[in-house]
Amino acid sequence: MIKRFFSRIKTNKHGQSFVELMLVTLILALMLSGVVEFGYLLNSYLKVLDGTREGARYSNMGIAFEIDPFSGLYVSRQDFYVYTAIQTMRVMSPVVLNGNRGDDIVISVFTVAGSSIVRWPEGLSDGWNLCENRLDPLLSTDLSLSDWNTCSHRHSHFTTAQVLALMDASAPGSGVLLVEVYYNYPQILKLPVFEQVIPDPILLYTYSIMPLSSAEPTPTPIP
Amino acid sequence: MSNLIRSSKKRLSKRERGQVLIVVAFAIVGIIAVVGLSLDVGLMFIENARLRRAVDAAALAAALQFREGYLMSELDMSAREFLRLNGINDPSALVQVCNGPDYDHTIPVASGICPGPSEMGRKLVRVVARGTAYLAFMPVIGIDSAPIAAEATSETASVDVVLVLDRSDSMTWGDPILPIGDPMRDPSICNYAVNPVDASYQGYCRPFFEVKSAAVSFVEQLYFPYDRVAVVTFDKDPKIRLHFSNVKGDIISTIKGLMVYQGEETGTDPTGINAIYPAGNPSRWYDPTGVYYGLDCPQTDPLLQAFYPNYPSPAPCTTTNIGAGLYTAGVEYNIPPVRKNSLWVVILLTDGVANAGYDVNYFCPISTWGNSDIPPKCNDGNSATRHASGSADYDAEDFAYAGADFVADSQNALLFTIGLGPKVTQISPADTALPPKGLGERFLQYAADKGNGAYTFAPDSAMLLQVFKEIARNIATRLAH
Repeated sequence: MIKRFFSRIKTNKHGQSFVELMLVTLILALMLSGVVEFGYLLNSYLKVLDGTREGARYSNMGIAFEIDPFSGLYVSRQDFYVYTAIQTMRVMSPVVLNGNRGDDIVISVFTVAGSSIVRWPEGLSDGWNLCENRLDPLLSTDLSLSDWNTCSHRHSHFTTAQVLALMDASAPGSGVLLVEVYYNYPQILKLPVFEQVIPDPILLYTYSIMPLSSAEPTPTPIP
Repeated sequence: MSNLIRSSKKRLSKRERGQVLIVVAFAIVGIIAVVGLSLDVGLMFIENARLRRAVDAAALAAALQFREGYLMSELDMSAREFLRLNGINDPSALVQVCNGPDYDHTIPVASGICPGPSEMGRKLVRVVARGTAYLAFMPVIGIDSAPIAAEATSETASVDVVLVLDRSDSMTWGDPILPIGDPMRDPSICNYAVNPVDASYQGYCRPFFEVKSAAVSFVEQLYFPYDRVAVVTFDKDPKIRLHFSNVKGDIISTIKGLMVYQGEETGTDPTGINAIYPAGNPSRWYDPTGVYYGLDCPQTDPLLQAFYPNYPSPAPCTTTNIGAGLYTAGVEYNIPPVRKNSLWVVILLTDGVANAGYDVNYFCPISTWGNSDIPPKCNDGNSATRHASGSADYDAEDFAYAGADFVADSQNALLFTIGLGPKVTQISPADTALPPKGLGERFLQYAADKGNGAYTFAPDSAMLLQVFKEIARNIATRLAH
């Protein structure tokens, strides 16, 4: 009886092409979805990278310090960091950061002279971050940060020692501006098959480092 | 026959079994290839974006080092630092300038970037770097990676600076203030005194000497022959002391040679009866023993009015014509050769408040003739209202505001202002603008804000050196682009 059953299966090949086609279509659809998802991911990554680059480039001409009228010392200007963050976010549009999802912008400034280095803003060893400064009035005039009320801040990937290690002690003193963005890319297709193997959202991290002449060590830079 | 057809059909259908599988196999290979290629192209895009970011930063960093006395090795080191910081390690990266010291460090003529031999030099830096994009799919056919290259050119703008310096007679009042009667308050004496600090300076009027030496130190920080400086002074009239020049020696000797305004003629009598006041211009006023009191003019002195009834307006006698100084500076940028790609900077230094201005008429409303000190004559003392040009109330201050607008808006120059000494912070009782602020400071702040520069108050001349340094620093941050 079993033998007869198998021989029937063996001989009954009507619809085989159809099944094969179904399988192929499935694989094809899966691959195409992968391409689409990867395309969106790539686009988001490039946008975020552009954001850090333009943010750092824009603030490259900014004045990061002011003289404190009471102590006479140089202190960091909060607006410098805020404007850098605003420019970064503007450029990466239509990608929108969502602090509640874990996104953040971290900005650090370094003054490097020979083998000594100072990290700004003063007192923050892991950089200025947007999450903790989301209530700055300058931000609300430019951007809506409604998705940031429960954010938790990110830390800079770069330690001060790592930055110093990349510098050349014999090079002229430099001011360095580091802009980092953490962006959780939410999968666009949300296919369960992808979500099983790839985390959703996917954490993207980009950074750009530009020179910042207002942070150059004294003697003051000259034109 | 029918059997033959039947059997051949059977044979045919037997042969077709598995055909789809073959097509599918081929198709899948093709699809995987397409998907793989798109993945690899994506990876190359990412790597290329990273490389571009790095060369941008490197070119900027190198351009920022393009300054007086730079070394090619410094440019090179700065560029490589920023390549490394951005994750690119390319020992063969090129850092080039126009007229570099060797072939590798010279921007090729074919690129068409550098100016020709007859044109003015430009501070250009080009960085060329290479990177590697590691591929995910192509290794299947033995291609592990793809080379990518990127270049960026950055320029440190040349600077065209006009120094607009106040040389009114208060520039002889000393630092600290000398008592009235001190001979060094007399511009005709201090202008010709031997300078004990640096004999290459004309005279030893203070704080004018400190103003000049701070200006000289500023000029020394510029990079010639790329940058240019013009020198304008103002008292009751503006005067161009030096048109745009890129010859450092000429600029410095012009500044060192500046003198404080010393009036038109010398009177000898305190009543002015025997003094000469040509066309009502200010003259130095001495008592019978020869002690100098200051510049005087019949229009500003009620005692003298009886003798000079023909000069009722104080307008020819006031000596702080800030408006004309600014207009003269702004017009300087229109004189060929005009450098549109340079950074235009006007630096205004004054120790007083605008009290003079004219075109065909003096800007001195009758209501201001009775003023003294703050607000001064020809200035209504109220910075809350500006009057239209041509209005009877258009005063010297309105003219100064218009001058700042001309420099900032029409000429699009950066405008830095320096207020020297306590006079600029004196509040005018007539000023209704809030919060209360010195009349002079309010204008200087307005001008700096309008001109995208910065206003600095120097309580005394000792701070001037630092202030000019700060301006140089501020300019430097706007240079690379």
